[in-house]
Amino acid sequence: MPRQVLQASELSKSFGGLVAVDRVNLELNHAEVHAVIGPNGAGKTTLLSMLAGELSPTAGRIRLEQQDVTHAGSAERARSGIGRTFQRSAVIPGFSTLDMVRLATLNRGGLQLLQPLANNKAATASAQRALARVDLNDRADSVTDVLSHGEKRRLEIAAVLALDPKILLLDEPLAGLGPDESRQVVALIEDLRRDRAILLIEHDVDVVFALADRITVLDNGRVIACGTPSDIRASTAARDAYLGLEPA
Amino acid sequence: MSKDHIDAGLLVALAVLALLVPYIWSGYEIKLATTITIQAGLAVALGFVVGPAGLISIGHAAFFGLAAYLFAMLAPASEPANLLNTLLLAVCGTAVCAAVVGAISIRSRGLYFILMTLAFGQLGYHFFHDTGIGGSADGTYIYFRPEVRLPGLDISLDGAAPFYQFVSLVVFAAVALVWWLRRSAFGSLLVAARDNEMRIRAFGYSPYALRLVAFVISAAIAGAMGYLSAAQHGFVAPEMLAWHNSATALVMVLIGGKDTTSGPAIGAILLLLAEELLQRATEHWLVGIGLIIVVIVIAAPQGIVPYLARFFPTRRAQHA
Repeated sequence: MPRQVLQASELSKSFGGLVAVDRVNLELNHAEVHAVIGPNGAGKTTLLSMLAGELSPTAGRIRLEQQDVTHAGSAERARSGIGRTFQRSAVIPGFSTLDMVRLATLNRGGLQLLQPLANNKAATASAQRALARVDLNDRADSVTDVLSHGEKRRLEIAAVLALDPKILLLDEPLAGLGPDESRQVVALIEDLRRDRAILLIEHDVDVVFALADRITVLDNGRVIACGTPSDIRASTAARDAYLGLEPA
Repeated sequence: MSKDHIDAGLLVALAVLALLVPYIWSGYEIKLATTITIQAGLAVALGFVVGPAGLISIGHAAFFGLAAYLFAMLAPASEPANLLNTLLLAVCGTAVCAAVVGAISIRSRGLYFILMTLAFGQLGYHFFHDTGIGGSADGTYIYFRPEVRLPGLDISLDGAAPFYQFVSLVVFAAVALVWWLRRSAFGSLLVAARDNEMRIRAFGYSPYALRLVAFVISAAIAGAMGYLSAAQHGFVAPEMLAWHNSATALVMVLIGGKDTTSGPAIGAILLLLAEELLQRATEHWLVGIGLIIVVIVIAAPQGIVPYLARFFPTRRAQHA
């Protein structure tokens, strides 16, 4: 019996007259990759932003484990174990790669905030471990601004790993990565799924079908199909909305 | 050599200079040095919120003036006040007030935050100017300079030199606190929240809470400086809270360099020395001050201290 960790029920978001997400139901289980796919503008990132607490839903509820977190802000959700990456790389300018990841490790606050980052041995050790998982150790002292696009995406993932979240929300982690980097990130997701719940938004259909346990297809803010990869392959609705557009 | 090294070096140089002042100068020059040191402390406090926290406050003079008034109210009429008690009470009272002002103002960002601090500052000014509390527009005299009373030891600060030395001690303690906070993880978080707020939220921090803590610490230091100023002049007036004093402190921060600890202090020293010297030379001294500010802003838009740091080559990429 899979353990449900995150549940969205009848979740909606409108911006003025535009309904970006329309009564979406979605569950995320422990040790599962749940992919959300759909054409551009389908509401995938809006959905993820609501799950992360950056956007407040117009209607519906979000439960984290047994708790209602619908109205909790993003900082509070991050502390209760939801980590997210951004579609557009969100590095902290002017910081070294290592310092950015160190910041992620200190979010329990307390007296350790009064110590310079570089002197915090525990933070440094976990930051280095996180950087090692995305193979960025050799860039630890580089300023984030000078990293390549692919390195920034990997740094983003390292920073989220340093939070040690129970739930990972990954917004197009492979966008703009070269083939080697993509393979590396896919391997990392394979490794992470063993002890975490992962929600994955991704355009690369091959990757989605290879990684996902379950797939939800969104179109115009609505769920048009949800099921295992083979269910989705068989679904005509999914094919019409999205998969048909990709010459497979 | 990085910007941090230059910053630390300048702070050490200023501390050495402060130690030497009473041995080199006397009388008027020591009083001038006292005024400049207090203003430098105010500028360093303001620099901490303008720089790392990214909060441009045009209301810090209100905290400076509020603590001065609290001291005037606490000081007994017929004998010197106990400095440690009254300083602590004035600073704590100011911090409580700053927590309320900050909690409301920090919800607004950018121009609206500036407007909020301006409004709260002017509210403070008019409170003392118009209500009759603290002597209305005329202000209040404090007839005795406070003394430091420790068990078995009373230290009088009546002479210009001992008072100057005490002021320097308090200001350097405040500067050391700001230096340490800027280098701490807390300081790094403030900078990170300023430059990428969404990321810092996603890491689980509340940028609002971080900024509020920084604001209260900064206002408390500004209050300590106001207390020292009241003790120096034996007089408080509503003008201490007025917005143009906040704006002058902001100019000191910006010309010295908001992203360094020593910058605002250097800005204060430079601006007040220029004022003193130009006033001796010409009645049109304000034109001279204006020109100096224009030249510095054009030549060193990040401020004087970061500008100086450019002349020392950096070995490897450093963090801002």
